[in-house]
Amino acid sequence: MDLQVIINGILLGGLYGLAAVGFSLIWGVMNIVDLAQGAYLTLGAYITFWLFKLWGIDPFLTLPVSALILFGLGFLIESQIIKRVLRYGFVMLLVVTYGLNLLLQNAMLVAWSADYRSVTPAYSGAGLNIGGVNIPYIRLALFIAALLLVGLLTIFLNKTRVGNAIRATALNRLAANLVGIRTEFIYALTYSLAAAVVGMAGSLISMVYTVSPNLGGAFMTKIFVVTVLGGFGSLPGAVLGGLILGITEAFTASYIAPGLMNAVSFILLVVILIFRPQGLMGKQFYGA
Amino acid sequence: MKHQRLIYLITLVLSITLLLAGCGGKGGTTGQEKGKGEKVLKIGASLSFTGQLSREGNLTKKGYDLWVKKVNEAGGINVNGEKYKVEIVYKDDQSEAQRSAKLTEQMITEEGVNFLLGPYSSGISAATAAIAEKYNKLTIVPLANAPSLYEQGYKNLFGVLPLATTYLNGVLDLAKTLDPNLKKVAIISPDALFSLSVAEGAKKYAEANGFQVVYYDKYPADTKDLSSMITNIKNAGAQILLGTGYLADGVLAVRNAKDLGYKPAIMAFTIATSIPDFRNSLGADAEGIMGGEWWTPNMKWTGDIFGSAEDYAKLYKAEYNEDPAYYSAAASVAGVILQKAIEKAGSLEVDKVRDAMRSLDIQTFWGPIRFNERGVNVGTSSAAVSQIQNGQVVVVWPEELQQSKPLYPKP
Repeated sequence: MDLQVIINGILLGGLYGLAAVGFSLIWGVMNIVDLAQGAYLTLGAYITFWLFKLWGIDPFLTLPVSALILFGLGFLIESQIIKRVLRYGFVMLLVVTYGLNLLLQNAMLVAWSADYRSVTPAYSGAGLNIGGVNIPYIRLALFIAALLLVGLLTIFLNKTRVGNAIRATALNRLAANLVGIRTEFIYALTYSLAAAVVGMAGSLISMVYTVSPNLGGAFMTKIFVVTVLGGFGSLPGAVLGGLILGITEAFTASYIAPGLMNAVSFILLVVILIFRPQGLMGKQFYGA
Repeated sequence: MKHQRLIYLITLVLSITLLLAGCGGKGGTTGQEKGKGEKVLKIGASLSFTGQLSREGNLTKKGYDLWVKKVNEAGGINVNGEKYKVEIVYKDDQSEAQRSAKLTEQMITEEGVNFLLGPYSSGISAATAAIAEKYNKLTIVPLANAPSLYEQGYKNLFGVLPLATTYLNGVLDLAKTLDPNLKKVAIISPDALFSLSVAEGAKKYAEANGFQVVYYDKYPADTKDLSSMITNIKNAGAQILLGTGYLADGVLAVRNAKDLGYKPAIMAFTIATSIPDFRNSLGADAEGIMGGEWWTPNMKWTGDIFGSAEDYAKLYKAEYNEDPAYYSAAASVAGVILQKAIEKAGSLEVDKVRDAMRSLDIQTFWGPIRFNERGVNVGTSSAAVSQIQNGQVVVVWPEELQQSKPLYPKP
């Protein structure tokens, strides 16, 4: 067994996990399958690209900028669009977020063209070499940043008043309203928070992958699989799901055939759904 | 189980959304009003303006547009003494073959086009060629050269590029002259019609020429990470890495190889050197990378509509403020071919134009054009090899086109 393969899988999995956190949160708390997350991810990647390209700002330092802009955009979209559609139910929300995704994606296409772009700071490509195993610094830093972000978000949800309010709203909106939680505000906050996190994921991803308006679309399938694997609404679940998917892909590519990567991932998904329909770390009451 | 039902519902809804997206609306118009008495020849073109292949699709459109502009400035296509202005009806296939087929059918049945300029990529062209064949309409595909496309017995399909299988042969020829110790070759390909054809062609050619193919595999076309493949290739000790994917695949492979500390002596990609994005995107990491080159502005070809290859490049630069890639050149020459065939036939009837195509033998800025019985252009035989040196693309092989000595091994 090749250690490099496991490392590749783990580093990739961390990214998948981070990309899926926002999606999972929205699904868990608001019961929305937010297909616009792919576009937010792409936007985050572009923010990093432009800041790096125009002013040479280190990509890691662009994270707060991405977070802020996406938080604002998320808030705007939730309060102006999502909120108005909420009462029409699950399917209508799916349509709306799908439309939003198309709109944003094509806006980026018009604004920035379909050119492929990359963020290449001076330290890109450098890495540790331990006993023949390569660990690229950027990917390692990405992985650590992903864990940190998920960790902070988990602490926020569990230890702060607002975080508890979000979780309470997820459990039962009516009851949360009754005990004085402004659930409308909580919804807007959750949505913005999720957009900010996926925006930061996009910023990190831009350092490893090529940025084009299509970037988020390619990640959406992974995000969906990771979320269902881990259980919606569960942040540690998203990370676990990401790691499982990353490692499965790496193993399939190395030991079976790279061409079967997607097939094996989906077989795994189906198998896990049969035995644990709520996902690996999902709880029954979330997202119902 | 509430959850299970929810997931089934989502899966169902997602599938339906995808299906609906595939059907799509009509979009596009038939063009603006023309002055009285002016005759217009409408040509259909379904291209990828969005999706995976949007970059290449847009470059193709630029080539078509430049030809249209050139023709219309000269008064139009001369059909037996009558001048026809050219107008291209564009549709966006969103990089999906089925959608492209549907749009092509729509253009034929609703817009009444008789001639089609091809979409980008072999996979999508395969879908539209079948439709055009059904309705007996002529298709010229500038950028589709998977051999299987020309083995269907289509009589209405004509391609501009030589067959894909020959794309990377030049790199292997060059490798032999550079270092006799270069033996181990790795070939990777996305699971797509064109790429697989190039990969198979390269594998056969490598084995026939005494190379040892130590790694050969394909990966899903939408892959975002090639680390695992590169790891295996590194472990196999490959000295030459050949990648047969599209632009994004090449960039991905280079970045992953750098991440994993894999440094082959030669790295070559089908689509890399030919698009400026590749070196813009990779910067210094692109140095020394080779690519097959169907056409460059410094090739010494010349023809009567655009003049020489250099003239074409100047015109293109004046129009779009960027250097032409071979995509655009091939697209422009597809227009030239159609124009020449129509003028030769002196008619707009498909059967007559087809006969004229079959016997066409012309010189263009792209090179000589002549079709065999399958519709493959046999005027030129295979691709040249270029390399990125100091951020510039220079032709390094064959020797008669060489602008600079090859940089070896790759830094």
